[in-house]
Amino acid sequence: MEKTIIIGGKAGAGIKEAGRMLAGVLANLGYHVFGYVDYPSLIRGGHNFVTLRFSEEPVNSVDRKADIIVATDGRSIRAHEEDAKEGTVWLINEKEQKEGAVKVPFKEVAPGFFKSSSVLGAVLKLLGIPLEEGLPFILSLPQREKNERIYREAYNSVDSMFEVKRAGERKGEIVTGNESVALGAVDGGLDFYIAYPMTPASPVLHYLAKRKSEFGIKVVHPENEIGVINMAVGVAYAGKRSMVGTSGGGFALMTETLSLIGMSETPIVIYEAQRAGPSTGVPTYTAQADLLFVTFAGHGDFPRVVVAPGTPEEAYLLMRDSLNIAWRYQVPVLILGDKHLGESYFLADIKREKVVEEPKLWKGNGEYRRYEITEDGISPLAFPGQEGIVVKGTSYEHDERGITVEDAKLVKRMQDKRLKKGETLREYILSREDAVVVGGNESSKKVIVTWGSTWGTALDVAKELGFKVVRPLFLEPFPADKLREEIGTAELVVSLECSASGQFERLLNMHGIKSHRNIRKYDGRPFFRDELAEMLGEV
Amino acid sequence: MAVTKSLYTGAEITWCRLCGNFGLMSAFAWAVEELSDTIPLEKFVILSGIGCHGKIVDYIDLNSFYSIHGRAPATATGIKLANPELYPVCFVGDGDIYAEGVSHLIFSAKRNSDITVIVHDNRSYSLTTGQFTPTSPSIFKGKSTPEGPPEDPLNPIALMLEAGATFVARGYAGYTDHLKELVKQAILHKGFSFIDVLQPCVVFFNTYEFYNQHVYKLEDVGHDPTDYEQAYRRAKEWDYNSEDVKIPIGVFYKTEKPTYEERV
Repeated sequence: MEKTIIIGGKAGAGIKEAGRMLAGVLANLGYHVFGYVDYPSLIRGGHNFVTLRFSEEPVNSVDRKADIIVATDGRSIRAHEEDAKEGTVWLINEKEQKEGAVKVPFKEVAPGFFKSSSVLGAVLKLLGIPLEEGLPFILSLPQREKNERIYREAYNSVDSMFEVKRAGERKGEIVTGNESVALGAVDGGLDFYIAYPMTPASPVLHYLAKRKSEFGIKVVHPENEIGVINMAVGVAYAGKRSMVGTSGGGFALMTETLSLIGMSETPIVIYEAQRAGPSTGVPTYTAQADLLFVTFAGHGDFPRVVVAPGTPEEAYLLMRDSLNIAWRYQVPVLILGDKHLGESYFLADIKREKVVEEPKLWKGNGEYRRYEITEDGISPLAFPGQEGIVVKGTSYEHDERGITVEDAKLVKRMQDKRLKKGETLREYILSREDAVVVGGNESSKKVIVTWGSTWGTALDVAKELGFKVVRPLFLEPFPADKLREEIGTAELVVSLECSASGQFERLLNMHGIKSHRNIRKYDGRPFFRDELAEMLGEV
Repeated sequence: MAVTKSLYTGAEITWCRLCGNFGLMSAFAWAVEELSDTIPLEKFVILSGIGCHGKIVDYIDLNSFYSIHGRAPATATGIKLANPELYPVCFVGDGDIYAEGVSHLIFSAKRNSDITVIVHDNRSYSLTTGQFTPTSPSIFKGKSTPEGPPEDPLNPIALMLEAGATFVARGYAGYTDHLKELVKQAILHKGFSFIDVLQPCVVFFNTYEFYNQHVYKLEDVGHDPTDYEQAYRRAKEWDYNSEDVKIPIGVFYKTEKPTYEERV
């Protein structure tokens, strides 16, 4: 059994909650499930929808065309006409009219959970899932009695048309990429999360702010992104782990300080969740068009890491690693995500474990030199407050103590030290087994090369059409050799990305990797499975 | 130069002869020495922005973070949040903090972050060879505004009172002894402390004579620094533009409030 379901309604009507609860029920029944969340930049009204696809087989994307469309208002009927196919079952609000549609009493109950209970009731019955499966979700809502009543009423108002049976053991939890990022940060020893609100990174801020006591962290919301990143620098200079989160526009404001981080060798992690630009762009929609900006941001030369998870498991692990890498090498680590990874619902099996590696600490006696020249380019860390030593961090070119220099030899010497550190870092990243990830039909001579969240759809289509999928997890330092190795002697190489100008293709070219075809999507939506299958069919 | 050997890094001092920065650095070093019984040297972290003032962190041998233009207070807040035992002191310039970094200044005051901000207010961008700053008067003919600034100066004392600073003072780099006392009070004050230091630039805006003639001390006229209304009236006595008025220096306002670091 494999189905795609669209649930649509007004913003603020509990559409996301309904989608998440349904995903939870399906996960409990042992299904694989993926949920795409589509909402405009407004607070109340408008049109929101969630598309869920579930199957006994792993699912990492949704189809554009749905088997079931749940329209909780009239606008949803009109909005999804073109997403219907032959045999699509429509559940519509009892007040609306549509030929052949099933009418459901979608009721509004509690603020924030308006229609979700009735949606869940109607859909579960339609799918032939027992009423009891939805109850734990309904009972965790506010105003549970009212919600239970309308859940039951909606359940009983619909006839079953499908038989969705248990599909084995539960395979994981429903999570979003943003939640995985937040948990990874906590388990990587995060002390301070500092952020200014910006979609689609804000859910990390909200998630951590709500649970800061449980996680033993501080969450700070300063005046702007420049304040954010400079505050984070202060935290790290004083010896605590800090991380910031933002999207493209906020990151643009941070780039001045990115160079300061590079020069002062401050360990900082930056989560950049891309949205459709340029500028304000399409704030609540997705894109992969900050790739070159993030990879090359900042004035001057300094080492950095850019890492792009494509699944929530990777988001968790790489986020946790990022804190350790930032502290081990005293560099900025940029986690490049996007709205699609951040806000979609995934079924993920994240095994949490705290991994906080001790950085290279100064254990010497006598005079401390913050920028001591060492063989691997990494200077031992010490923090202000320790008796008998002076810790001097700086934005200026400097000597080993951290005192400003302009002398040609000294300037070159310290630049060389940072280059050396960059090489040490590069060796480490390129030696990681996960520097490049592969999937699909691994012996195929047809290869899709992609990055970040586009992985999910590529993987789902690859199985169907016999492609191998290759994806660099790290974009800087760039694992070109490994990538080349995986592409091997492919007869057809297709690069795939959500960027209008083909930024990923350009990055590949820069590293001497050519693709025969480049498929780009840039309407703010991720690749849908049926859509991509069609595009690849034409190649 | 009152900087003692123990507080001096040995870095070559490149300020101009008789620069107001010397008086300011002396006052600070002196204050640190006098406070060192209560605050061990390793608990100080000095920060700076970018400009002539910034060099102070190269000269004073204390923990330091040489920040970027206008951002020092944000970094200082991060330091205080991470380790409340530290005493972050920001040295910033007037162009640095009243222009580029004014948002961080206002918000540090609004939050009552437990840090000290000392402004080297020479009312000129001097390291960049003489352009007008937010506190330059109409008579200041800078390189970017040869006819004088097309805008009036900002009154940082009034701004800080409005923003919520819990310690607001003005000092004069020429009166080192008086400034030293202000610095000590500012550092010991729990909450956001702000001192605007009138600091003559001998090359681009030599104001020694002007300040010598116009400055008076608030403590000499019985000013009550716990009275906000009185503080505001005193703050408005000089608009950083007029030349025919007396200029008050000393503590305008001082009050107690929970700090940001306690509340976050």
